[in-house]
Amino acid sequence: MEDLVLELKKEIIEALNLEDVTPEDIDADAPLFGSGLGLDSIDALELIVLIEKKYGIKLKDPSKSKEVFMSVNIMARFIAENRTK
Amino acid sequence: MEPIYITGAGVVSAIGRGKEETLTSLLAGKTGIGKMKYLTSCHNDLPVGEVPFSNEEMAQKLGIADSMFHTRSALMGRLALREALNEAGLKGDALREAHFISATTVGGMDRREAYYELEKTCDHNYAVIATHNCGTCTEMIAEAFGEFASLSTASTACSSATNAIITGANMLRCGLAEIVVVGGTECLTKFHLNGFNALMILDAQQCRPFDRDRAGLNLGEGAAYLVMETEASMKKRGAKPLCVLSGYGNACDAFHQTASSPDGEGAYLAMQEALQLAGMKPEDIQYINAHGTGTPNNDESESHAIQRVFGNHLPPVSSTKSFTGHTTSASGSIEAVFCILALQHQFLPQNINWKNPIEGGIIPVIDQKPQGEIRHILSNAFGFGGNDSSIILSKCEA
Amino acid sequence: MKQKKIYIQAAEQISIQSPLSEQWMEEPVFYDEASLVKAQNPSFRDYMAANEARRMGNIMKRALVTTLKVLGETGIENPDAIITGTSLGSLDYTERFLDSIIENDEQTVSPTYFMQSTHNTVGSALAIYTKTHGYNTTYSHGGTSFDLTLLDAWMQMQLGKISTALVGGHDEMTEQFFGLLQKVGYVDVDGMVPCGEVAMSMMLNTSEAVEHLCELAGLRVCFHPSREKLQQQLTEMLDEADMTLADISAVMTGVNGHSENDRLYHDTVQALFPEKPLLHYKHLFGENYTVSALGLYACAHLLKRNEIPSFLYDSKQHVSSLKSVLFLNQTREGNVSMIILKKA
Repeated sequence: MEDLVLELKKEIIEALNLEDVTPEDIDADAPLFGSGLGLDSIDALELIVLIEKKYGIKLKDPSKSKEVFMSVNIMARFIAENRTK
Repeated sequence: MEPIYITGAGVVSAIGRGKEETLTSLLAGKTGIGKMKYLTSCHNDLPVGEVPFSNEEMAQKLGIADSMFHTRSALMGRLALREALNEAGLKGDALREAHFISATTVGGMDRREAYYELEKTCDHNYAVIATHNCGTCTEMIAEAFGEFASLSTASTACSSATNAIITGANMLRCGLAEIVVVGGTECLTKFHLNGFNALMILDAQQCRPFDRDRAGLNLGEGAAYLVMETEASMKKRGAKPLCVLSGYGNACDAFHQTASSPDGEGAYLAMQEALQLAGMKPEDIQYINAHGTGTPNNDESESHAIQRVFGNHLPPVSSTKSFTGHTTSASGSIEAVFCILALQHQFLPQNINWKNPIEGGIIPVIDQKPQGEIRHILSNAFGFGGNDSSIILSKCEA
Repeated sequence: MKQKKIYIQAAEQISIQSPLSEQWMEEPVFYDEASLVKAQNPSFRDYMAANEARRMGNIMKRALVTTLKVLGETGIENPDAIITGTSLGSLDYTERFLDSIIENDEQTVSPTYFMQSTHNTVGSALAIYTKTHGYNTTYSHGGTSFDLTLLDAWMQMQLGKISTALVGGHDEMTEQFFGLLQKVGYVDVDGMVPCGEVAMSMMLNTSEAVEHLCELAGLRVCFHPSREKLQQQLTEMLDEADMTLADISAVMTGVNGHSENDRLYHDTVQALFPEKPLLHYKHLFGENYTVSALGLYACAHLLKRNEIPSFLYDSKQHVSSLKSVLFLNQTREGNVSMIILKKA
């Protein structure tokens, strides 16, 4: 799981072009949206694309993304349970 | 402001090729949204409002031998422009004095995306097609009719055509022109179909503007143009007015690139400006043709903005996008033509496919019969990036 | 209608010359061998946080930085209007989106690239960043895209609708699109200036009280005008500005070394301005659809400084007393703009 969390942090940084952020900067339990990294709705859509492209998970309902993307750890758990790639 | 006269109008959309067919569909409550027929895409299960002509059919109607070099937007544009110019009797020397302002955002994208994979190896011909930009689309539409005094192209996504109308109006009012021809055109492309799909704002069913259960918009395509002139020009040419442009407004929401602010500030300011310019109060408006895309965000935001402006004087409101789909850059002028028809034939375009009200939101009109005379109509067009525009069209005094 | 005076208060650029400065007037860079030159970017970090810029491509960052500099210089936080001209919009992001549609078979495509690709995102980004609710529109009409922004601002100022306007001309260039233009024969022709990139923001103001670079004394945009029509437009423009042809010190044209392009200018100059000293600018700034923005920026600054660097001249005849410049922009499609800038 640790490997997945680190990998996920790197993927998020790349997908969202967070130029100044390193994996060490991201607290895996901190909220991704609102506070924390301060991501917004467009970032949520990019993350939906990311989990489909990289992990084969199709998230059809954008409103579910709030739960899934609460934090990096929650996201990693969701991916571990549902990945097809 | 002094009135600006609209003396010609032409339209092509999913509900009609020309004003007559369009009127029939509007009165019958008949939608043009359906299965994708002309665009090739993996997402062909998404309902769309296509103009019921292939490019070859449109080219034939226009007497064009080879449609390869003509973008779909330009072909639709020419059909609509022809109708408008014919109605206004604008040609020859008079056309040479008229300024043409067209609006589009996709421009020649339908052609570029068709050849994109070949671009690195394509020949000169394909390269010509691929370099078609928004301005070229305007030139392609205009060149069939003669040489206008000037050409320009507005491009503000979904409010483009309304902004073309506004620029034209400013030209008339400051004396740079006596006649302007304004409007917009946009064809469906894989580019923006996929774009809107990626933003997850498309509905898998026919859209439901202002409905509690709305889930997004349907994309549409089409074109519409208006001939607008000063009173002096109209009288000199002996042209007959269809209606009057009484006011307009343009403001920026300045909130987000793809979402509207919760209180609809940009929309509010645009509508207020239009009323102010027209010297009107909210109670002077008898119908609002809303932007009403059917997305959760727009309809909520626009509801608030309309309520802020109109308060207790809320007139009937509807969105016609469940008829045509969202025709993006052309929507402002296509829906202006619907408003002109509504003024001429005294009916309220219905908000079809509506069932349940948004809590605290606008309840749109579903009965065509107006309460009294429709004298003034407000029409909204709100684009990505918060480019919000409104116009007021008024019945001509006999 | 009595013409209101309009001033160019400030103008800043990012181009293939040194950015955000008028260093090009003392140390111009000439690109004799190149056919495509990318703009010199300033350090964007100096102007905005990485977090703010992360979604922005080059065209948007350049537009924002030139805008912020102009707003800072003029002290105007929220102009009455933001009007933008761009022919190709966010071309880079447009192509990336097209790439992603094809590579992923229309499945996993990036919403950010799409969102930032429409032509009006640049103008909207400026409004969002500065929280400006005023009039906002974008023109995308090839080589006259920027000229139309000036025209729009000019009209609204004459009508008294606005007093200040931030106008901008922005265009980038990608290798891929350049390749298409090469095939069509528009660029990379022997003797022609290179293709460049454009970012230019300018503040217009009707107030005489503010410090300004010059006056925007008149403008006209037309299409395939006959010689007589063009003469008539010129005469009207001069009359409105209370000027005569003798008051025009020099004419700046868009010659670029491409024979088809240069012939257009040669014919117009012969017909209307046979005696005037001529200036040119594309050998400095390259060619691109909205490069007229950079030509006008250059005119504004040379009027302010009351000096014309020798390398701007395209004629042996030089200006003895600089009062005004008539800027001439012509496109192969037949669009013609004439803009008069005057010392204020």
